[in-house]
Formats: sequence, structure tokens, C-alpha cells
Amino acid sequence: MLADYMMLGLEPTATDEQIRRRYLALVKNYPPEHDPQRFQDITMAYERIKNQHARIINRLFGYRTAGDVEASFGYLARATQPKRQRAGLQALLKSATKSWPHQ
Amino acid sequence: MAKKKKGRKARKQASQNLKNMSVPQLIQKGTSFLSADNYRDAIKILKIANQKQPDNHQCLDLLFRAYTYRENQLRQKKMLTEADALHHQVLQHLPDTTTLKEADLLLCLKSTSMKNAVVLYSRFLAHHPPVLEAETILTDLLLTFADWQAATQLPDIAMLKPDLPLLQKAARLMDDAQWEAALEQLKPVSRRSPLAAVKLLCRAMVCFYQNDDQSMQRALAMIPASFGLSSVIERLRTDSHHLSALWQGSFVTDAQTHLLLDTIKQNDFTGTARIIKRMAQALCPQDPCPAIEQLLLMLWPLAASQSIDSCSLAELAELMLPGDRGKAMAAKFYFLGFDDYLVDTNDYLELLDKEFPDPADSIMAASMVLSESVERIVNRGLQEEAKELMPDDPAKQLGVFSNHPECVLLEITLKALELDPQNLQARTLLAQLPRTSRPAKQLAETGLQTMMDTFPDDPQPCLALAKLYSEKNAFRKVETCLRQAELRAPHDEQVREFHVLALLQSIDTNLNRKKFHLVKADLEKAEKRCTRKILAPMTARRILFDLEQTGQLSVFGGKLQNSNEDRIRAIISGHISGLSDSDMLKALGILEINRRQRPKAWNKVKSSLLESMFKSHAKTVNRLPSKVIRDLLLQEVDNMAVTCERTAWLAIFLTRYKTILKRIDNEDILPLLEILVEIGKTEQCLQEIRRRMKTASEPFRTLLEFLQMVVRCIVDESHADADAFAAIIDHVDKQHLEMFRTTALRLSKSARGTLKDALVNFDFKFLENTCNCPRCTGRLNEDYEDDFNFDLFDIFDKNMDDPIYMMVEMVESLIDMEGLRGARERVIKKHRKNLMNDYKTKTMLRDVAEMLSFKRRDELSPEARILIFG
Repeated sequence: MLADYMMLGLEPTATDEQIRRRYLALVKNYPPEHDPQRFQDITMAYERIKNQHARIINRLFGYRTAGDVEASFGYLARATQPKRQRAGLQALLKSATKSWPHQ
Repeated sequence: MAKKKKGRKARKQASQNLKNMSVPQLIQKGTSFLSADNYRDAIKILKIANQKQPDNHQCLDLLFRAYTYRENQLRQKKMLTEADALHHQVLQHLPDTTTLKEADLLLCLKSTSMKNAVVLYSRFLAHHPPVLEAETILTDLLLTFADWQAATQLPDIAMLKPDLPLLQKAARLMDDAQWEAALEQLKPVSRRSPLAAVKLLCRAMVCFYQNDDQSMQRALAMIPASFGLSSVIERLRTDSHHLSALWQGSFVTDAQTHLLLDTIKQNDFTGTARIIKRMAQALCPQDPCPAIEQLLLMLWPLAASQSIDSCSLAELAELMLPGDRGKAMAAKFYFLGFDDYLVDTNDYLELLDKEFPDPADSIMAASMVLSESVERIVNRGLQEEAKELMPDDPAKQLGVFSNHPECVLLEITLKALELDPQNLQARTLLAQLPRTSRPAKQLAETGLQTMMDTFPDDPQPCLALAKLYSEKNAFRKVETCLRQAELRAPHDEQVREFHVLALLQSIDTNLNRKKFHLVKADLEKAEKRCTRKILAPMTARRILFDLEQTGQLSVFGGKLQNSNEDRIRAIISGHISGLSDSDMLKALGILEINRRQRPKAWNKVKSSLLESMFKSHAKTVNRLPSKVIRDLLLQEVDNMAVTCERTAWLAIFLTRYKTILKRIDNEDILPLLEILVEIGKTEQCLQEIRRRMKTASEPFRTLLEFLQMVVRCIVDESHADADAFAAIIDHVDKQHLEMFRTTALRLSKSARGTLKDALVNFDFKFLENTCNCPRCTGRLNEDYEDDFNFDLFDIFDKNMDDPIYMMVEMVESLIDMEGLRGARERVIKKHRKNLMNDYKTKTMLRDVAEMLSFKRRDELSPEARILIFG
């Protein structure tokens, strides 16, 4: 559930209409020809949270299938990917000498 | 002590030797050290040579080079203080710029400050033409240290000089992260300019912010190696994901995921909790609980595939989540495991409002949980035992009041529909659940009638109710329902076909009752609605009607019908002549079934004629393509309104047309073999598999081998272990693996216990587990508990020679002593966990588990099996 909201960049309190609008905007930005994986992820996230019925089903039985643990974590990793932020040259130079805290 | 003295003496001797060497000898040795990248020793030797002959230019040159290389080496080792100290030596030994080589210049520029670099390059330019690489290094220094004042001292001859204002503006924009503007600024810069690399860096960064990583890598690849900012360029090239300045927010890394999975697979639940907490904190710093829930749920498949213990995962949830939230999560895991069937459902329903605080959500979820439970019981083939799977108080949460086994599941389904009438799963179950008894039929009828009223536009409840009435032979009620369905969906072909099939069923009944006026009316109604798909069963009924009329006064024709053989033959031939080969065989098949179902006293002429006509068309099969034959044999008997089972349908073709299976290609045979297994014709199936294995090519040969092994396991002819299946599957190409997976899934319908789990999940490690379902464990046997109320000592006396038997009895007495007999699985598992904390008991249980072979495990009670094997 949380991963699906993260994939669409939404808060868990988002309404059905907000979810739909966000999904359409994202699909426009990531068409399947350009980024098939992202498109697939976005569509899957939308299908899981698009309405009350889908949300409850997903929450109840979303992860019952065996054998897809790594795929689920891969999906979570893609959903929680950090945003690209603007950085100047000096900041880059400083960052390059440091190591990433999560490494 | 002696060793130290010896070492000192040796060093003193070596130093003395060096001092005794001539200058050319020292220079030669220094050169060889330089080429071997041993700069420290090179400096030491060249310094001695310089002391001996201070004016030797070759020696000075080499010393300068050795100092420069050593400085670079120290900087690479991050020994910056030592490198800075050495830099003074470099400046002191700076050679005459008239003789300075390009390579030395570049080396020197790379390791000096902007001011020194400008001085050195200016001096160099007095005697040499400009060097592009040197100026690229200067550009790099300018961007790093921003010493624009020093840069103005460059002579006019330098290529960089005219572009300095441009670079300054661009550098400011780059520092402000305005890479697009910087790129625009550097637009006039040519490829041969020292600023070309800066332009490429700007382009790479612009691509990065446009999410075009491919173009970014292309731009970075074009930046020459001589360009500095190597730390940035290299990180951008290889792992831009780890440049923290470029990213906002935290994320789950592959390393974290692997660590989590490895830890939990090693049953280190304390470590797992620590990792989950850390990950959840990173995902949701304000409230990590939803993230913990998400991560735990994502780990569930490991418990489902029995890679980890589901009880331990539930305990972890209770430990990590606060109060009721933890309990609800644990109950969810038990429900997903479904080891205690409806008891788990009941427990989960009690805590459902903690997981779904919104009442509307909670009601919808409860409905889904109920219908899911029913479906799981049906899928596991435990419908008849449903009563045994109930909790102590089934009325409150499950809505079960009846004691009748068939009614239990129906009542749960009705409760699910009462909570949420939109629950599609429950609606489908209501139409499909078995209802042979009168109370079950009444319950289903009430439910379907409610559905009909609740959904006034949906034809499905009408069709389901019509089916129920047709099972009760209430054909007029069937018609009323079907007319209602047609009103609701006038153009729905499925509704029309269903109507025709119901009419055909009515025709069959009335033909048997010899109520021909009703048959004629139904035939006319059916013909109006008949489609091509049901042409064959329709034709068969028309033939039967005409045959029944022969030899008696027709109520319709008004004259006595001729019953001679030719007349009968003419009726049959007349009707089937217009049909396709496939439909003709179908119609004859229906007639043959009808003939077999009649009493022996039935008209002998008609009977023998029908039989001979069916036989005589055996050659027609040779004209049919493989797929058509397959479809003919796999024909759904329900779609022909034939009151027979699939077994009988297959049997009439397989016995009369003995070579029919040979006419089917390997590509088409699989569904047929699966059906043979499903209807219990395993011997015929194995025979066909063996015949085909002789000639089949890959991948069908392996698939048939796999099929053979599964079928043998189903009929319990042989016990195949995980390794035997792995030996087959491991050799299959990835492209064909899906075919094996599909076959396994379809065969799972006919399997039970661990084999069923293995086939459903396509993971044959399941075969190593023991099945704890009520049927396999014998929990359903009423006398089961009494089996263990024997006098242990008597048995011991009789079986003293069998150590395994003794062991089994010891474990059983332990179960009784601990009061675990008849306890729930999770209680026994908890007890086992406590026992495993004690080293001695742990070793004992492991030894017992190792000593009991697979077959002897069956001698244990289910409680003992859980206690020993977990």
C-alpha cells in the first residue's frame, strides 16, 4: 500500500480523484515506449489503490503469492527512489569526496 | 637485538656504497627507480648525485620529475600535508622552461595551485606554443579554486585568455546549479577550445536533470582524461546514485534488501527487526508503523513458501507494532497461512477493525475475508469437512448456525453477501457451491433470490437460480428465471445459450416421460434461440424426438409411423447430413450416451442401429485436424445438456475409436492428459505418456517425463522427492519453463497435500515438508484421539527391538505429558520454539528428526510431527 502511494508520489490520504489525476499525469510523462518499467510500475500502483475495493483487496491479500519477495522489494526500491535535486559545481565537488550515507 | 644491529649495519653499508658510486652510475640507478615507479628511492639517489655534481642538468631534470611524481603519488594516497611539503621541493627544482617537456609541464600543473600554475605556464609560453591539455588543466583549476585574479596574469598568447569572461560567467551559473544557462553561455565554445570539457560537463548535467541518463553518459564519455574534476566526473560516470548532492530523500537500496532477506532466512529475527526498523525509519520518519507493516507483509511470501516459520513472522509483527496493531497483523499472518482454517478466519475478523479503522472499510474487508476463506476451503477440497474446521462460536463472526456440512459454507457466503452485496467472489461462490441436500438448496435459493432483487439489471443471479431449479427438475421455474434473464440482457448470447440448454434438458426429461406435446413445444422454443455452438445437441434432440415417434401414432402427424430400419436410418442421416464432421460426431456421441442410459428392454432395432451408426463414423475422425479432435473430446458436457459425466463422454470415444488419441499432436495432447488424470483415468494417461515419450522431441519429451512423475505421485505409485523433480526441471530452457509451470498448476487440481502445494507454487521443496491438513493428519477421524490411549508399556514390550518405534512412542508420550494433544498448530510451534532454546532438547529433537525416515514420519501423530519437524 505504502509503496504504491510512494510510486505515484502521493500521500496515503489521497482521494480517488487525486489518485486518478496523478496516474494520468505520470502516464503522460512516462509512456511505455520510453520507460516500460516505470509505466508498468505506475499502472500496477494505480490498479492497487484506484478505489476503495482495490485498496482493501491489496491490503488484505496483496502479498500472499509465494516467490515474489525480491520483485516486491525491487518495486519498493523503485517506488522510493529519491528525487533528483539541483546541485551546483562546488556542492558536487564537496559531495564527490564524501561517501553516500546509505552505502 | 642482534638482528636490529645487523639491519642497521647493512643499511649503513648500502648508504656507504651509494656514496661511493659515480654520478653517471647514480643517474642510471635513479632512472631505473623512476621507471619502476619507486619515486622515494629515486629521490634519495638523485639527491646524492645532485650533491656530488650540482650543475648536472640531467640530474636536476630527473630530480624534478621524481619530486613531481612523488607529490602526485602522495596526493593520490590522500597524504596531503606530505604532498604540500614536497611541492616546495618541486618549485625549487623547477627546470629551465626552455627545456621543460610537455609531459613534465602537465604533471606539474596538475599538482600545483592556480597562482603557481599561471606563473609556470606563462614562463613556458615564452619559449613554446600553447598546449591545449595544459590549458584544460588550468580551466579545471579555475573552476575548482575560482582564482580569477591569477588567471588574468596569463599571457595573451594563451588560448584561454579571450574566453576567460565567458568561463567566469558560466562558472557562476554552474555554482548556482543553473546548468542549462551555463550551457547556453558556453554555446560559442568550439570543440578545440580548452573550455570544451566544461561545455560537455554542463551538457551531461542538463541531461541528468532531464532524466536522460543515456545522453548524460554519452556526454561524460567525450570529456578528455586530462580534464580535472576527476572526482566528480568519475562518480557521475560510475555511480551517480551515490552522489548525495544530486538526490533528495532516502531510499531502499539493493544491499539493504539482500541483507534483510539473508538475515530472515537465517531465522535471525532480532536482526531482522533491527533492519526493518531502520528501513521503516528511513521510509517514514514521522510514523514508521505503516512502513513496518508494509515491509512485514512483503516478507510474507517467504512464510507462505515455508522458507521461514509463519509463527515467527507473526510474533515479529506483534513485537514490532504497538498493541492491537501488532495483534491484528499477527492474526492476518495466521489467516494468510490458513493452517487452522475457519478458526484463523474468526480470530482475524475479531481484530479486523484495528487494521481498518473506517467502519465502511472494515465491513467490506470482513466480507472479503469470509468469501476468501470459503474459496480456500473449496480449493483445498475440504467442503465436506467444513464443519470440522469451525471455531467454538461460529455464529458471531462467521454467521454459521447450521450443523449441516453443505450449509456451513453457504451460510458463510451469505454472511459475506449480507455485509457487502457487491462482493463478486461471494456471488460466484453462491452460484457454484455444492447444494445437494434440501436445506442447502433452500439456503442457496434464498440467497440467489435476494441477489436477483438486489441487482435488477444483472442476468447472472437469474441464470444461477435457473440452474438450481433445473437441478430440482422444476423446468417451469427455470423458464421464468431465464425469461427474466433475457429481459435483463436481451442480446447476451450466454443467456440465450443457457436458455436453449435448459430447454434441451426439459426435452430429455419429457421424452423419458413420453410427454411429446411438451417436447414439441420446447423443441420449437429451442430452435428459435439455437446458435451454431449448440447445433449438435439440438440436432440430437430432434433425432430422438423423431425416433420416439416412429412406431406409434404420432400426436402431431396423425398417422402411424413406420418403424423399420431404413426409416430410422433415414431419420438419423437426414438430420446429421447438414452438420460439419465435428458436430456430426458430437450429435452421434450424445445419441450414443442416450442409448447407453436406456434400459435393455428399449427398442432393439433402434439401439443396434444407433450403435452401428456411431461405430461406422470412426473413419470421420481421420479427416479431422488434431485441434478439432482435442476440442471434441474436451467438450464441456454441461454445454450439451447431456446428463452424463465427462468420464462417460470420453469413454464412448476412447472405446469406440481406439486410435483417436494417436491422431492428436503432442502440442494438443496436454489438456487431454490432464483431464484423464482429473477423472481418474490415470492408467490410460500413463500408457499414453509412455507411448508418446518414445517418439516425442524436446521439450515435449521432458514435459511428458515431468507429467509422468506427477501422475505417479498422484496415484501414489511412487514417492518422488524434490531432487527428482529438480533433476527434470533444471534442464529445461527458460523459454519453456512457463509451459511446465502451467501444466503443474493445472495438475494441482488432482493433487493433494504437499504435492498440491508444490505444483501450485511450482516449487518442489514443498515435498520435503509434512502436510498438516486435517485429511492428511487424520484429524477428521473420530477415533483419532483414542488411537493414542493405549498402554505404552505393553507396546514397548512388544517392539523393544525397533528403536525408531521406541522413539516415536517417546515423542508421543512427550506430547501427552505437555498437554499438546489436539492443540492448535501455532501453540505446538510456540512450545517447540521454547524447547529449542534449550541446547540439550534442541539436539535431541534434531537427532530424532534425522533418524526418522520419510516413510516412518507417517507413524507420528500430527502434533508430534509439528513438534519434531516444525
